[in-house]
Amino acid sequence: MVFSENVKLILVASCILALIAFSSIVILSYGEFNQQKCYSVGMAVEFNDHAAAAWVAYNKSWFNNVGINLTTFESYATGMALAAAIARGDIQVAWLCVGPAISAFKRGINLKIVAMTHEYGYAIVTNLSIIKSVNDLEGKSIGCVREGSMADLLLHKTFKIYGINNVTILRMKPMDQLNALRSGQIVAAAIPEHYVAIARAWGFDILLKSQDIWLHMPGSALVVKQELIDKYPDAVRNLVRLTVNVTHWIINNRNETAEILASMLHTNRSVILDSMTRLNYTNNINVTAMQELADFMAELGYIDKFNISEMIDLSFLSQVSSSQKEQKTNLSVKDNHFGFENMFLLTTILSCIVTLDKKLCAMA
Amino acid sequence: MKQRLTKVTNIIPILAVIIIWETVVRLGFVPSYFLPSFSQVMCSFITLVLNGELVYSFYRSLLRVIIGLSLGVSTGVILGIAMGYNRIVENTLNPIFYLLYPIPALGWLPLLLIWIGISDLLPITLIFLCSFFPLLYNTLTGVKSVDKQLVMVAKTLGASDIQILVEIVIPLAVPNIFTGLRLEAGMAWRTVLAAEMVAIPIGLGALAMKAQSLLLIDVIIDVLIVLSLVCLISEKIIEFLEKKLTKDWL
Amino acid sequence: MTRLELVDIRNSYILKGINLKVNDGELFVLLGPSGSGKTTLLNVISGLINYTGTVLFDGTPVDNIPTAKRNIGVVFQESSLFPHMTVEENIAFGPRVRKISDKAIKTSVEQMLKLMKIEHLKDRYPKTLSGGEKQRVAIARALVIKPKILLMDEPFNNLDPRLRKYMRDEFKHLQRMLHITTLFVTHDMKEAKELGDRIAIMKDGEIKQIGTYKEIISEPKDDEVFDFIGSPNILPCDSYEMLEHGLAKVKCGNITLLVPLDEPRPIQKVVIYPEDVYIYHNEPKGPKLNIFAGEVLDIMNKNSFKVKVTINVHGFIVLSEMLRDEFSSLGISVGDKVFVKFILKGLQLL
Repeated sequence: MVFSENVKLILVASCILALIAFSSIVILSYGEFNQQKCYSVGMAVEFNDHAAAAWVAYNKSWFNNVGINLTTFESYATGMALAAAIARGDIQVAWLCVGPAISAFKRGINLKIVAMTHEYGYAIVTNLSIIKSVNDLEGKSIGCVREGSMADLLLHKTFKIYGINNVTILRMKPMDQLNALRSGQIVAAAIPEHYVAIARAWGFDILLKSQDIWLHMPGSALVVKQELIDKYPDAVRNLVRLTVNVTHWIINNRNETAEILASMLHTNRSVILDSMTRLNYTNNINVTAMQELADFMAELGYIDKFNISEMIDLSFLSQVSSSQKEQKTNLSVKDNHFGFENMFLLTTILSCIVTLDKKLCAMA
Repeated sequence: MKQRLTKVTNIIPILAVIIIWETVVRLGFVPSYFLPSFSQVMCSFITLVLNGELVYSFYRSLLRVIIGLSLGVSTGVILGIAMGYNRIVENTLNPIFYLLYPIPALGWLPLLLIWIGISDLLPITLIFLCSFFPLLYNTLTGVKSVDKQLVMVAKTLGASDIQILVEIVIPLAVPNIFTGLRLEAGMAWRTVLAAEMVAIPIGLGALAMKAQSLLLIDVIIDVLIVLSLVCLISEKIIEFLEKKLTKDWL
Repeated sequence: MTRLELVDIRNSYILKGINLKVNDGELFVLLGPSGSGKTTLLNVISGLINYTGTVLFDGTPVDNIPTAKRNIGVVFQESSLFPHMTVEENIAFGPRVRKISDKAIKTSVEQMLKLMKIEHLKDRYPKTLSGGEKQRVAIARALVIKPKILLMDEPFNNLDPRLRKYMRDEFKHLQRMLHITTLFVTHDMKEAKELGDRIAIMKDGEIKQIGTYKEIISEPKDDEVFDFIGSPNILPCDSYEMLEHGLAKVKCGNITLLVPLDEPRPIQKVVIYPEDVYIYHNEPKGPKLNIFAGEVLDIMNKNSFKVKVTINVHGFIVLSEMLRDEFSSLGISVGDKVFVKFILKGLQLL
C-alpha cells in the first residue's frame, strides 16, 4: 500500500500530538500519583490556639494532601492530659506544650520534638484594681493549670524572680480558673492563650506575660513518637513541611486564621485576634531556650536534669528548609481545586489534538 | 493453727500478683512509663515518706475525714434516733431526706464548688453528706427494729421515755449503727480522694493529680496503696469496736 | 398486797366490757383461746394501751397513772430479757431506773437471785441461758421491784412439758410465799387448774364464766365454756372406800372406779377428760383396772385430726377422744360393743 505524502504528514503529526498529550498526562498526574501514598496516624492537639497550624490544616483538610490520613484527631483541655494520651499509645503525633512533652519524655515515652509552633503565649491575669503588682500576690490564692504545664512554669518563674514564697496554688483547668476569678475564689490565674484573651474580654487584665520575664520562652511544638520517625520518616517530613507552610499562611492570613480558630474553639474572632498578638509564631527550635526550660523543670523537682538534645530532632526542619530554598512554588499547600485544574488542562490539550487532526484530514 | 494457715494462704495470691507484676514490667511486656514495676513503686513510696510529702498529704486528708465523718455520723445517728423514736419527727423529715438520699455525695460537688468554693470545707462537706444519710437510715432501722416488748417491759419496770431511749433503744440499735459506720468509713476515704482531685492544694487526691500531670504513675499507685490500707484499717478498727461493745450479747 | 378491780373495760378492737375482781394475794387465771383478749386485758391493766372503763388498785382508779408509775410486774411468754445486759443487770434494771440506792439494789438483786436459784447465772448474758433459766430471770426481774400486781402472760408456754410443770409448781410455791396478787394468762386448762385460785374463761373479748376450777367443771355456764374446758366426763360419786397405797374405790352409779386418793375427803364427782378415756375392741390384757364394757353411740369428726366417740358405759354417756390414726386402726363403728378404760392418772376428784 502506498501512502500519499499528506497522509504521512497527518500520521506523523498525530503521533507527535499523542506523545505530547501522553507526556502531559504523565507529568500532570505525577503529583497525584505521589499523593496516593498515605500514612495513617492518630493526632491530638490542645484545645487552645497554640496549635493554630494544626487547627487550620485540619479545617482545610491539608493533612490529606501531604499523605497523612488521620485515624483520630482529638483535643485535650491540657497538655498533661494530652501527654497521658501519648503514653496510652492512642496518639503518634501531638501539638503539645513543651513542658508536658518533656515530662512525658522523661517518663520514658520515646518522642521527639521535630518543630516548634510558637514562642510565648502564657500569662498571669488578674483584676488590676485589686492586684496592682506581682508582689501583691503574696499570701493569696492563685489559680494555675497542673504541675509541669507551661503556665505553671511561668508562675514559678515569676515567684522566683519576684521572691514570692507564700501563695496557695489552686489547680484548675483554664476555664475553671476564669470562673473562679470571677467568683473571687482566686485573685489571679496563670493560663495559656487564648484563655488570656478570654480573660481580657471578661474585663480582667494581664498582670504579667511570658514575654515580660522569660526571653524566648518556648511554647508548643510538633511532637512525634520515635516509632513513627523510624517507620515513616517521609510522613514526619511531610508533617514538618506542612507545619512550616501553614505557619507562614497563618502569619499572612491572620483574619481567616482567627475565623477558623474561633469556630473550632467555640469563641469569637476578636478574642483569637487579640490572643495572636501575644503569640510569636515560629517553627525554629531554640535549643538553648529549651535547655533552660528543662533545667528549670529539674530545679522545680518535676524531672531529673538531662540534655534536651535527647528529645529534639532537627533533621526534618533542616530538610524542609533546604528543600524550600530550591522550590519557588509552594507545592505542598494545595487547595481542593487542584484536581479540577489538571482535568481542564488535559481536556484542552485533547481538544486541540482532535481539532488539528480533523484539519489535517481535511487538507489531505 | 488453722487461722494462721488461712492468713498465710491469703498472702500467697498477693505475693503472686507482685511477682507477676514485677516480672512483666522488667521483661518489657508493659512499658514502665505506663506501669512502673512493683519495686519502682515501693522506692517512690519510701522517697515520698522520707521527704514528708506523702505523710503530710495523708495527714491533711485524715483531718478532713475525721471531721467530716464525725459530723456526718453524729448528725445521722442523732436524727436517726429522733426519727425512729418520734413519729412526728419522722413524718416531717423523712420526705425531705428520702429525696436527698439517692444523690451520690460527689453529685453535690458542682453545687458545693459554687456555694463553698475551694477550701477544706469542700471535702469535709462531701464526706459529711456521704456519711450522714447512710448513718441516718441505719440508725433509724436499728431503732425501729428494737423489740417493742422490751420497751413495754422497761416501761412496766418504771423506766421513763428517756431512760428507755438511753438504756434500751440506743444500745440495741448499736449493731445497725456499726454496720453503717463500717461501710461509710471506707466510703469517706474514697470521697475525700475524689474531692481533693478538684483543685484542693494538699491531700492524697491532690498528690495523685499532681502525679498524673507529671506522669508519675508510681506515685499514683502509691496513693492508691495508701488509700487501700487506710480503708482496710478504718474498717478493722470499727469492727474491733463493734465486737468489743456487742460480742457478749449479740 | 393489792386488790385489783376492772370495771366495764372496753377497747376499740376486742374487749367488750370486762368486769373483774381479783382479791388481794389471789392467783387469778385468765383462760381462753388465742385472740380472746387475754393479753389485751393485761396491757390495759399495765396501762400500755388505750381503753375505756376503770382499773382500780385497792379501790383507787389508776387510769390516769402512766405505766411506769403503776408499779406492776410483767412476765411475757418471750422472756423479753434485755439482751445487752447480764442477768444481774436485767434484774437490777427496775430498781436502778427508780433511782434506788446502789446498796439497796445490790441487796434486793442478791435476794432475788437466791430466791429464784439463779445465783450462778448472774454474770451471764441472756443468749447463753436456757428457756427455763430465762423465765426465772424474767420473774426475778418482775418481782424485784415489789410490784403491787404481777401479770404473767403465758410465761411457760415455750418450755417443754416437763420443765413447764416444774416451773408451774415452783411459781405457785413462790406466789404463795410472797402473797402477791397475780393475774396469770394461759390457754391450757390443766395449767389453769393447777395454778388458779379462781379462773375466768375468756372468749371474744368477754368473760364467760368466773369461778374455781371445781365450779367451772361442775357447772359450766354454757356449751361454749364446756367445749373450751375440754368437755370433761363428769361422773357423780355415790360413795367411796379408802384402800391402801394411796388408792380409793369410788362408786359412781353402776361402775366402780379405782382412783388416786392420798387421804379421805369429801368426793362428789369424778372427772375424766376424753383424752384419758381409751377404747378397745377386745378386753385388754392385764389387770382389770377401771375397764368397763360399753356400746358406741356416736362417732364425730371422723375425718378430723381428733375423733370423738360417745359410748354408753353402764348408763353413763362417756366421751372419748383419740387421734384419727388411732381411730382408724380400731375399726369401730356405731353400735359396736367395746371396752372402755379410764386411765388412773387422768381421774380427778371433785
